[in-house]
Amino acid sequence: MTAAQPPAAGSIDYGLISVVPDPDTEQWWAATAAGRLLVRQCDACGFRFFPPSPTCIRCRSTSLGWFESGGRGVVYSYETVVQPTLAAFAAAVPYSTALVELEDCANDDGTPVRIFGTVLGERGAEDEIGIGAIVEVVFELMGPSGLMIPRFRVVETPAGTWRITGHAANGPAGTLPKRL
Amino acid sequence: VASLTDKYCIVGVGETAFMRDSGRTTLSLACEAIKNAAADAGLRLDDLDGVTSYNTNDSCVTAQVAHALGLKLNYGVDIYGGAGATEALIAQSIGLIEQGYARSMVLFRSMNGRSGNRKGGRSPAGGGSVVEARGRSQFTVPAGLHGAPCDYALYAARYLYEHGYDSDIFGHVAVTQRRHAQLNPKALRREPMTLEDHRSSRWIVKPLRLFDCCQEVDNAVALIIAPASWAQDLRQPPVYIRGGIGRAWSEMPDFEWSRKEILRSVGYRVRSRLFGQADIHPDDVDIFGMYDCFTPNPLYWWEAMGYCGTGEGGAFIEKGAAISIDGPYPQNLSGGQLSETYTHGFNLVTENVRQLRGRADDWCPGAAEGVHSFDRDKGCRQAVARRDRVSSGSGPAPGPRSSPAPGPRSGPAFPEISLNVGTGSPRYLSAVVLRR
Repeated sequence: MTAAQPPAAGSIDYGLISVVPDPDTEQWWAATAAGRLLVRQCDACGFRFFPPSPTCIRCRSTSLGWFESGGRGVVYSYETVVQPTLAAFAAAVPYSTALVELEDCANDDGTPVRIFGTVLGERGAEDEIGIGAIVEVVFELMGPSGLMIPRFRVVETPAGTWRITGHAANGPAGTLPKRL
Repeated sequence: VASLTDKYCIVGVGETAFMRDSGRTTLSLACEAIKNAAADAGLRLDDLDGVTSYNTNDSCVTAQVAHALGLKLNYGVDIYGGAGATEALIAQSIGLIEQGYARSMVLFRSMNGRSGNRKGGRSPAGGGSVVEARGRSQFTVPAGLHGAPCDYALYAARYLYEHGYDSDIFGHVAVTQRRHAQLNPKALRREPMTLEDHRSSRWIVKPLRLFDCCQEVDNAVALIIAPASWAQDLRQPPVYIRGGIGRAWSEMPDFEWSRKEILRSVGYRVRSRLFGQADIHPDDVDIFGMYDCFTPNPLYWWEAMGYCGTGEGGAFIEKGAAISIDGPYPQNLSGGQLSETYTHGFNLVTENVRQLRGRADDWCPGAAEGVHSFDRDKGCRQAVARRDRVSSGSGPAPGPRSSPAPGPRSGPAFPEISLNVGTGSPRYLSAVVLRR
């Protein structure tokens, strides 16, 4: 348990998440701390992929470099979390997480590069975010760890952007699962 | 036809009660389920020399079970895994017996899925403690993805978007399986559910609601595999293992989110091998176990197995009529993981074993002897062979029996062939085909 202060309403308590970079990922985290979003690029075949792996996932080369993305992309799928399972997000619900296809990272065979991030905005930005929305990356400091995490801001919602609809009313925000 | 087809049988099945708070260890639960499976088969515990299980660091292991039950094991190995592990361990088991590693194999899954390690929230304490994010979790947990609903909501949203459905298609799955659960005295959730109940259930992770999620349960389930030559001396009608898949994986299986089409199940690639190995046509299957951690998922498996085209799953189920007990494609007759119990898919297999025997443990007084009314209003859960069913949605009609195979003396025949598809995600798939 930490002695962290209760987070402000609507915010994520990154003090309750301990990201542990490893030798395959530490350069990626070092880059985000400098405000740069990297994806792996194979020196041998040029394939771009994420997350970082020790080999090229197409040609298996171990000679790997990095490609710096501009951090703009299209939402491939998303969700809005109403019932949190992590204390770090207890005060943040509802929040939306987007699976973003980076526009400048697609490979010549059509294989995309996608990355997750929470979406900036009140109450999950539900009126903005949607499949097909254009977003751009924003880096946020993850509390005391000093690591920076990519999040996304909606910059454009083209016609046809698809949003989740439904009938149900949300439960009260900020409640952790009740045990029977 | 593969050489091991029909050489091995599932001869016994058993479980504990399905509980919210067992107050017992997973070892205690496992021992009870195994003893029940052995009693069901008519085997002595001393006849058992092979045990295997799967867990997600949430259960006892075979050495503990062998210790507690006094077994002298020739084979005892545990694997890490959840969905699809049951079918995969069945596949491994017949190979192990064939090669002489063991004479028979016990499979079990034991979990305090509600009072112990919870699928959705790790520990009973829920949040409050620091969560470490290693490996792939470095890129998911800080983005707010944690727990199964977060993974499956992404698939569900994409499915609705790509194919233009509304989430009522998920409701029809929940409602249909709840009706099945009402025919199952041991099911945890039997209270009536309507489509309106589903629509008004609270959100968990949009677009998934509470009634889209399977349950979290304390329980254990076990089954026993033995050579077909044993089966004639045992208590139950034999159920033969025809073939299966376990596990097949898509490309990029450790971060499927960058696959071109995340909904493209690996089942498309392996289904012809499955049906070929089992030497059946897809239309030969009488009853289905479709892994249902969340309501949308069975729709993906219907498509992947070729019962309908890509994107047609939502229409295929015909508002639940097609997948109900007397429809053409009965799905998860026990109520499944949505309404019966949650065991990472094990209970979907044991249900089909009982159905193939003609011994579905329903509300019929003679169920244990295979005497069934086939009257759903009187609580009969025993399915009938596909050829003896009429069109979807209506009740079973007594039809001419074209086979003298075991079944009731008059009226419709019991199902002959079952298919279980075990998987949570389109990136992997296990399956097993059984027959009576």
